[in-house]
Amino acid sequence: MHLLPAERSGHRIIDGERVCEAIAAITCPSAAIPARAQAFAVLGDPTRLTLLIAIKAAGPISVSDLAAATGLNDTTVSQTLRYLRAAQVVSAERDGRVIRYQLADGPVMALLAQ
Amino acid sequence: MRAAGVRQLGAAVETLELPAPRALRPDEVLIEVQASGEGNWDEIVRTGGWDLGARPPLALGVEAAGLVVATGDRVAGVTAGDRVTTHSLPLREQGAWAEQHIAAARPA
Repeated sequence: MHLLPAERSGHRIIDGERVCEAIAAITCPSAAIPARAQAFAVLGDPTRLTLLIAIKAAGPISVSDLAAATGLNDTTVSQTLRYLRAAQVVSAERDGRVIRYQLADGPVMALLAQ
Repeated sequence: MRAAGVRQLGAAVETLELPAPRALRPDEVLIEVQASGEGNWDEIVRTGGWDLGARPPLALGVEAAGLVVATGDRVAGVTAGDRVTTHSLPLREQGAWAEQHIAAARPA
C-alpha cells in the first residue's frame, strides 16, 4: 500500500497490490491522461472520425474530394478540417491553388491505426 | 503590441499589451495581421483543453491573413510585402489575434 496517498488511507482496501498497480498505471508519465483524453475527444464525433478515416486511407486529399467521398458538403468538410488543424491532428500542404490534407503524427494517428 | 487573449488559462478574453515579436528564427516569417479566424477551438485553447505550445499571457487565434513584413534567413518563396494566410501550429510565440504574428514559413 506504499502508493496510496495519506488522504485515502482510511479507504477500505480488499486487494492492496491491485490498488498499487492501478495507482502506478494512472500516475506514470506514459499514462499521459490529459493528452490521450484530448485525442479521444477529437475522435468522439462522427463527422470528424469519418474525415479522419478517409484522410488516413487516401491523404493527402483535398476538401472537394473529401466532400465527394463522404457526402458531406464542402462547408462542413472545410469547417471540420479547421478544427482538426487547430487540434494538430491534420496538416495541410499547398500545391498551386489546391490544398491537400494529411494526418499529422501524434496520438490520434496512433489511435486510428488500431 | 496589442492582442486579444488571456492572462491565464480559463480567464476571460481581454485586450493585452504584449511585447513586440522576438527576432525571427531562420524558418519563420513575421506577418502584419489584417484578419484572423476564430472558431470553437479557440474556446478549447482558452480553457486549457489544448496545448498549442505557448503559455499565457497568450494571444488566442491560430489562423491569420496579412502581409509579410520580415522573413528568416532560410525562408525561400516568400518575401516582405507578400499577402499570405497561415495556420502555424504549434505556435511559435503568440496566437494570431494580435497586430503581428510569427509563423513557420510553410507553403500552406
